[in-house]
Amino acid sequence: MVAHLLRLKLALLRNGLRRNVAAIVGMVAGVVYGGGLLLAAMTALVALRLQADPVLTRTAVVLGGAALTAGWGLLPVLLFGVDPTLDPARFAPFPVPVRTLALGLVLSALVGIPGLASSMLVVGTVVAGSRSAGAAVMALLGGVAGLAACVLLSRIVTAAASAVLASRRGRDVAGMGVLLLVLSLAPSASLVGQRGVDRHVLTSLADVVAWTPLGWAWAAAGDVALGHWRAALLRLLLAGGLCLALFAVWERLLASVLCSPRSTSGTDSGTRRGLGLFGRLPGSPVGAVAARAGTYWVRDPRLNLPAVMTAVLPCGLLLPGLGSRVDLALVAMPLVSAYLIGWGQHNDVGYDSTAFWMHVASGVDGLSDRLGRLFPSGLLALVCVPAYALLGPLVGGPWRLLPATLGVATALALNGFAVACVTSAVKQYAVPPPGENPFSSRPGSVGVTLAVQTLCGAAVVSLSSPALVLGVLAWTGRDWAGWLVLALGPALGAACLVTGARLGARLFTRRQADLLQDLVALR
Amino acid sequence: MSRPETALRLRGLTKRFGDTMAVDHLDLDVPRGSFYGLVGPNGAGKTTTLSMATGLMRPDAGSAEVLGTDVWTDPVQAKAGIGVLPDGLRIFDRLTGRQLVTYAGLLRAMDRRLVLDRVDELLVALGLADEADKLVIDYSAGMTKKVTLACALVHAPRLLVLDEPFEAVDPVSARTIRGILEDFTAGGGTVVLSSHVMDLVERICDHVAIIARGRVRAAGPVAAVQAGLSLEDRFLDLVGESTAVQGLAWLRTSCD
Repeated sequence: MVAHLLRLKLALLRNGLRRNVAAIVGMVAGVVYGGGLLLAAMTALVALRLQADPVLTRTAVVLGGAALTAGWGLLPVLLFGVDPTLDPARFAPFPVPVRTLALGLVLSALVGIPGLASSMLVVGTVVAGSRSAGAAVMALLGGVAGLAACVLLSRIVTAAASAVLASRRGRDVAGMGVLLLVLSLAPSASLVGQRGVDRHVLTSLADVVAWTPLGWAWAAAGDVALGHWRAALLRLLLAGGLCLALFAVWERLLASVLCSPRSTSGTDSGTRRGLGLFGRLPGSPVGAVAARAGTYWVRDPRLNLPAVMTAVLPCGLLLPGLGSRVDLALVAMPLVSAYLIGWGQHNDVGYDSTAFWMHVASGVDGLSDRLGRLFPSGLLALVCVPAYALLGPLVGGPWRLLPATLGVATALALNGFAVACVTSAVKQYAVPPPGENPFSSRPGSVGVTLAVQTLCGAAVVSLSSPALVLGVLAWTGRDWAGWLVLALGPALGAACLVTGARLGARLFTRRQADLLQDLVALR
Repeated sequence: MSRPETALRLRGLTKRFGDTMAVDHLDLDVPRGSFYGLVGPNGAGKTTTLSMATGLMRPDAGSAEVLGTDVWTDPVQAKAGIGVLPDGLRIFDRLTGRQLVTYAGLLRAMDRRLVLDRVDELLVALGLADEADKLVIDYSAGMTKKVTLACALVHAPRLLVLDEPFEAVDPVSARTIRGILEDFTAGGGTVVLSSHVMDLVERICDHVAIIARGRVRAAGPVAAVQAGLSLEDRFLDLVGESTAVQGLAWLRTSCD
């Protein structure tokens, strides 16, 4: 049965790649992206073995291992979404013993790029810890326990997250939780920035972490190298116990999911009287598209969660700005806000999913489709960008940079919209389908997503480079540049937007049927 | 403007997915005012054909003409005359029923007042008036079909292309829809629908085309295609697949 599940996972991976070329390109991009990081980490681990100080090795392995474990627990939910291929709820109809299924799902989580990379890192820690035969054995046992804990943790977190996120209320709460977490990262980063990274601080941090569940497994080998056999054995036992406890939790959770499979449809219900935005915006195609986009931003958690995040995220810069008096952080607030709002539009058609057929079947003109979609984010930019631009000086930033920040931010937002007009008529990547968990993702699509996002980001920044250069000049004390960019930024942005919308409209007219079939294939 | 006698004219329509020939040089003429049924086994290429005929999928080769206008060279004018009900595609289901049908009308650049009048009439005619302010996501499958049909009708098209319009629809709603479609053809409109329920097509359509493996096997007035048999027997004849159950002997031993 376990072998069967592993084969299933491999088949899913292979079929995901067979489905389209983009997935292969994405996978290759992912391998290159992650491969570089992995190579650097492996080199560092080998270097740790070659240098003389066992304390340094222990510090690095413990902190790295704890970070790896935390990453397995958090990243699937925060960044990449829950991998739905082996969603436990899908196994509800089959009579498989829970324990077998639990074991099989954990092992199959190791199949795939993250699992492979983590396994290699464990091998690396064994190399780094192999100062004596005993230490090497301990590193191997610890590494296996640590890896098991990683995978179990990620399984538990994703299963719990899908259960919580299945309800609309749970989604809202979870969204706020994520937001608070992101916001709390900023002060810790600024604290580190203030104190500077000190070797002693790290060593004592590692000592603390080594006694937390995150560090038990990774610290054992280092203890042996330092001669603390008893501590090492204790930690190994604790790590083993942790794995057993996590497995028991996972089994419990799995059993409950299998007994009450949740429904996949959204639970957002209720009635809305009248026409809403459709009655208030102009009764033209562009007005209709704008009304539809606006209504969706309010009702669809896949859109309103990121929108709230985008609106609030720049606040995180207040902490370094106020705490350590970094003016740059205050100045960056409106720029980050404008960039996020503009750039965030680049996959808008992807969120329509196959409902996009309505636009294709109606023969709506490209310009109406392009411009109407920008309505909600345009409104958001209109509120957020000036608000953040004023907030900086109000809490102590330099007033003389206000014209420059306004000019550059306007350019960034408009250029983001311009790029979005073109890209959302060319290539859309998979997003969670309507009514699904907003944090889920399709296997094999992470690479494409990253590639498109990076490309769009690069395009926005390079289109805005004249404004950015003037902004830097203003920052370095040349006030004339600030006033110049206040005039030039919006003008350049408007020119880009007009060009982008025209080009996007032409592409939309020519490619709409192909775009729809792309979306059908992504379904 | 001349009034062509064919509402929908497909010539050499071809679509290939990888190694599979989904639609293979398909020719079809749908006369104006007819109630045309497309029948075929699963995977015969019905949905693909209808998607290419309505501008939702680009054909690899061939042409589709709607009321004398080529769908792929003059899509805007062609699409103005078509109402589409696709199968298996989503709709903007986080709008209310009223908003969704209004959206369909406004997208086609119709005057808002006209749209609102027609939306009210359509919702009443389709029995959705009580549900008009509910989100479409909370509709049953049959209600979703009906509201999508309202979207296809709101701009008063001359040709209706409906993919499986009666699937998941209860008998009462089916009768309502059928009534609306019969009025529509009586007023000079043309309906093309696909289905795999032979009895239904036999009862309500005046023309029928049998499609299998991406080609038209027989087409014309229902009586001509039937050739004295029931449509189902004629269909099985043409598609030529054995229906005798082979194997599964173990399934018959369930009485012990």
